[in-house]
Amino acid sequence: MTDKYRLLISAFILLILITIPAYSQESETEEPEIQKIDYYTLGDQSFSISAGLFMPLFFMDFTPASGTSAVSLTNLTVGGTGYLTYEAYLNNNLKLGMEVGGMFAYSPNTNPFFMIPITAKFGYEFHFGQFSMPIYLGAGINIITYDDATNVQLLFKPGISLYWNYNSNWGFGGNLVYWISPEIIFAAPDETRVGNFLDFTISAQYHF
Amino acid sequence: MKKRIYILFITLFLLLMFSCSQTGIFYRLEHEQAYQELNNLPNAARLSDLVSIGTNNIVATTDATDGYYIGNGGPNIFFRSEDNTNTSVDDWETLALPAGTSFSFSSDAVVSSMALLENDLYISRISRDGTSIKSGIYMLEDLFTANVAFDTTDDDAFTDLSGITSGSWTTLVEDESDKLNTEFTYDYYKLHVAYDSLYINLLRYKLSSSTDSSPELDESLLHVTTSPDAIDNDLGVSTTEIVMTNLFVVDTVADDGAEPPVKTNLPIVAPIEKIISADGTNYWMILNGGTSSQREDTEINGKINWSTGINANLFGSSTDVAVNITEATDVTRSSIKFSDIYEHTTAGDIIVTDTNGYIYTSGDDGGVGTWGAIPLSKSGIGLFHGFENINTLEPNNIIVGTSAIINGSSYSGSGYYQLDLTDTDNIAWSTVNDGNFADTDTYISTDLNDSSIIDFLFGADNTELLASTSLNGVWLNKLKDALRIWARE
Repeated sequence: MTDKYRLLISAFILLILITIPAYSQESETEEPEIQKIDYYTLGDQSFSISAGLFMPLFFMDFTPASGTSAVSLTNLTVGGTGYLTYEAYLNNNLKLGMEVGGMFAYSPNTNPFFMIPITAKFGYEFHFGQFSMPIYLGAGINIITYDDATNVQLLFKPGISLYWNYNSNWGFGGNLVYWISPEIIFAAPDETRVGNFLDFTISAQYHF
Repeated sequence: MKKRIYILFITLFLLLMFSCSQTGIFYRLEHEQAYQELNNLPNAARLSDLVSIGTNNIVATTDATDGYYIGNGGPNIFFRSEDNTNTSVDDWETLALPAGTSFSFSSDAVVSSMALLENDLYISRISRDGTSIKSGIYMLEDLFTANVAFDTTDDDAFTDLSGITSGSWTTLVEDESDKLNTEFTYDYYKLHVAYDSLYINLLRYKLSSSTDSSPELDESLLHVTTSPDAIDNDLGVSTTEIVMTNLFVVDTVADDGAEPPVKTNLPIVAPIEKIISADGTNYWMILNGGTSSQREDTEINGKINWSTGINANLFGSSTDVAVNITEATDVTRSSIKFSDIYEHTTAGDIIVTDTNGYIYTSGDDGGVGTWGAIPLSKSGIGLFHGFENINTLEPNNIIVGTSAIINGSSYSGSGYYQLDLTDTDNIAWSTVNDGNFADTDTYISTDLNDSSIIDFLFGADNTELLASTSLNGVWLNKLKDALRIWARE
């Protein structure tokens, strides 16, 4: 091999060695690493207040008499509801909380009907920029009063909400919650019913 | 942490198990129906001594004039015309009351009792003001005159009660006690009607001073008359006194069976609870008493406070003017009271209720020696009070009201129950129509179903039934769209 060829090969190798690091640097700047933002972490808490409409849907009888329907009207008017909720985040999406509330509606004879739900909530919260959408399930007790009768029953409340986070502390939104309230009467099993209700409320939420 | 969660769930479970009501609230709402508000009577109106004038004498083809329903509301007497049509609305009005002849009643005057004998209305009235206690008995005559002529014209005469004034009343008896005396007595009248007679129970109370608020019953006298209009401010005129001191209670424990029977607890000084006679032959009287504790019963918030330690006594007589009424020995009970008595004319049975919540029935011969060994009762019912024969609505059935009672145990009212008298030897709770002649849904939708019943009244040719309650007003049962529904007056 002549000196001329050795000189050319050496220059080529040198050129490659120079350009490889430069190429590598360009790769790092052209494909930056995607970073995930956690809005909430373990220990973050929130407190919200909600109020809105209460809509009685129907009563379910799982052992209807022959010839009668299992589903019947509640005979209640559309009423109002409100509640206070405290929640604590387990991580950015999962949260655990407690909720205490109340509702009212009226019977055909304008007698007031009240329910006071006390539930524990477990929810998963989706985040979309400034919006968050928790879905959750509440379970607890429901204190029902009508006329001179009072009943304490189990209660399940699956629901979904949509919040607009105004800033890091405040959020505003709406909630749609379904109430499943079984009423088991041991003394008269044929009077056992499952109450189905729906509430739509608007909320103000404070994060701290 | 796990342990705390388990404890929480167990606590919730126990709370649920022991906190459940015996009644389904959702079930009740499911069946609730809107009841009608028929008339203008206040929702809390409390009418006792319900009577009707002429409503059962109406001949539909010839008489267009209405009869009246009249009730004693305490300070006022309410009345309304009965209407044979279902569409019109009749308003209740207040009846003008006597102002007093030898004195003037004060503004706090109340009607203490009211009774209807034939077509004459009798009331006793009392007022207490700073200086005296005034009481009297008054009569309103000839409120209805039926036309007995067999023609088609309507000439039954009803007094227009709207036109009654205080001067329309006839004064029978008046008494005024001067409270300024250190110690004084006053008269309180209770009126009863049995068959064709008016009974006047004169209760004479003693007060130790003008500020004494606990009157003591000093005397209980009973007068009877078939001509009360002849009383001339003196019960001795046209009335016969039934000597109460001749009443006795047989001491069945000490009685060795030898004649005469051992008598005890003489005399009984107490208000007469009730007098009945269905046939004018046999008379029955409830007179609770016989111990040193004989204070008047009080009513608080619709619940009756019964005195304890008093014997319940039922007396029977074969004549209403008997001077000596002897005791029906089999139906004396200690430490309770009899609250009501009813004679079922069809079955010939006597039914008595007591403050233990029991209903006693006699045998079909009316003999007191055959009282039902096992009295009827209902769990959670304080006592039964108020009967009505609903044979025209439900054959062989009667209804009995419930009443709230306080005095240790507190019971709420529970409306009424139905008794079946088909088998007079075994009177039992009715199962006909599930034990309710009325539509159940409308009944449980009203306040009537948990009320204390004061009185029932049949009217309008026995097709309408009035029920008066302690705290929830007056209710009317009538036929609507083939259902017997309750509506509020």
